[in-house]
Amino acid sequence: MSGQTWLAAVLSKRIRILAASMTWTDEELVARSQRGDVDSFNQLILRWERPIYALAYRVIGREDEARDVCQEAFLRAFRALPGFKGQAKFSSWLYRITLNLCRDWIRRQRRAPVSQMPEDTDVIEKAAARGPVESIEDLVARRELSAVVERAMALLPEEQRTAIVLKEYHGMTFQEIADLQGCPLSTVKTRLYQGLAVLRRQLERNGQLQAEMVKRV
Amino acid sequence: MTQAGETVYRCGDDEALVSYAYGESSAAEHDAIAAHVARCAACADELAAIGSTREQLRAWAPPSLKLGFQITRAEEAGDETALPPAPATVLRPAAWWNRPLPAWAQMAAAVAIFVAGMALGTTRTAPPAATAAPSVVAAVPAAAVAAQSGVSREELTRVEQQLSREIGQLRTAGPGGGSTAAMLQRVSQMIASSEKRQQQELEFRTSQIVSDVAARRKIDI
Repeated sequence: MSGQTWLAAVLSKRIRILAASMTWTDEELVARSQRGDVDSFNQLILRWERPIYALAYRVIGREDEARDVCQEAFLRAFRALPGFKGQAKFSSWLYRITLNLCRDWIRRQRRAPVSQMPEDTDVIEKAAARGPVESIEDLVARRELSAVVERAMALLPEEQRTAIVLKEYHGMTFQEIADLQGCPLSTVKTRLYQGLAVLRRQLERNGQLQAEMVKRV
Repeated sequence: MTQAGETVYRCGDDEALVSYAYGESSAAEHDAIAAHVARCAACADELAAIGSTREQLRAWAPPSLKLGFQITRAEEAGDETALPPAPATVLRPAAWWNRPLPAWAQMAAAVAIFVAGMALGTTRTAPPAATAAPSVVAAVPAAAVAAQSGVSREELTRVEQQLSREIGQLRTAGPGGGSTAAMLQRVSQMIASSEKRQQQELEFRTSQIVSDVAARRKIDI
C-alpha cells in the first residue's frame, strides 16, 4: 500500500475516533473502557481530573497530597472498572472513591492539622499580628480573601467541610451529598447550616479585623 | 413544618432555611418561608448572612496545577507484575504530544480534515483535463505527506492515477452488488494493511527511541 493511502486511512480512523469521543457520554466512555479501550478512560480522566483535584484539595487542604489523592482515585477507578455496573453515575462513583481516599488521608494525619498552621492558631489574630503596614487593598484582594476562606474552612470538622465543598463548589443536591456521605438528608442540611455559621463568624471577625486596621492606619 | 394541610415556617427551623437558601425547598415550603421572611427581620437577617457567607466562599479557588494524568500501556496490558508498586508509574502526567486533544483542537482538526477531504473529492470528480494538473490545494498536502512518509512524488502520482482509474471503473460498472462487494473488500484490505504498517512503524520508532536513549545514556556516563 502506498504512503498516501496508508496515511489517509490512519488519519481518517483517528479523526473518526476523536470526533466521536467529543460527544460520547461518560456512560459510553465507561462502556468502551470496560471493553479495554484505554484511550476512552483517558478521555474520562481528562474530563474529570480538574473537579476531582479541586475536591481533594478543598477537603484535605494540601496541594501535593491532593494531587496524589487525585491520581490514586483515577487509578483505583481504572482497576475497579470491570466491577462498575453503572448503578450510580460514573462521576458519583469517582467522587465517592475520592472522598474515601481523602477520609483515609485525614485519618492518617489526625494528629496533624488540616491547615498547615498550628491547630490552636487563630487565623484572624495571625492576620492582625502582621501589623498595620499591610495595606487594606491587599487585605481585600481576591487572593487574600481566598486564603482567609481556606483557613476558615480548615477549622471545620471534616463532615461539615465536605458537605459545604460538595454543595458550594460541585453543585450537588442535598440528596446526592447524603448518598455520598452515607447519612440522612436532614444531617446534610444541619452540617451545612452549622458549617456556614462557623464560617460566617470567622469571616465576620476578618471583617472586623479589617475595620480595626483601617483605624490604625 | 406542615400543619393541617398548610405549610407553616417557624423561626429556628435551620434545615428548612438552608433548603430555601439553596433553592431546594418544595413549592409550598418556599412560599411559606418567603412569606415569613418578609415579616420577620431576624430570619431575613439570617438568610442574608447565609447568602453573604456563600458569596465570600466563591473567592476560594484551588491552585491551578498542570495535572494531565494518563493511564499508560503497561497497565492496559494488565502486566502489573512487571510494574513497581508505586502508582505513579502507572498513572502519570501525560507528555503534551500524547495527551487527548482539547475539544477546540479536535474540532479544528476535524474541520481541517473535512476541508481537505472536500478538496480531494472536488479534484477527483473534475473532468480528466482538470485532474491532469492537480490543484494547489491537493498538491501542498501531497508534498507534505511525501516529505513525512518518505514516499516519492512519482509514487504518489501513480497511486493517484490508479485510484482515478479504479473509481472510473466503478462508475462505469454501475451500482451493482458485485462491484460494491469488491470495493468493500478492497477497502477492508487497505485498512488491514494500513494497521499492519502503522504497527510496524510504531515498533520501529520505539526501538529507535530506545536505542537513542541508551546511546545518550552511555555518552552521559
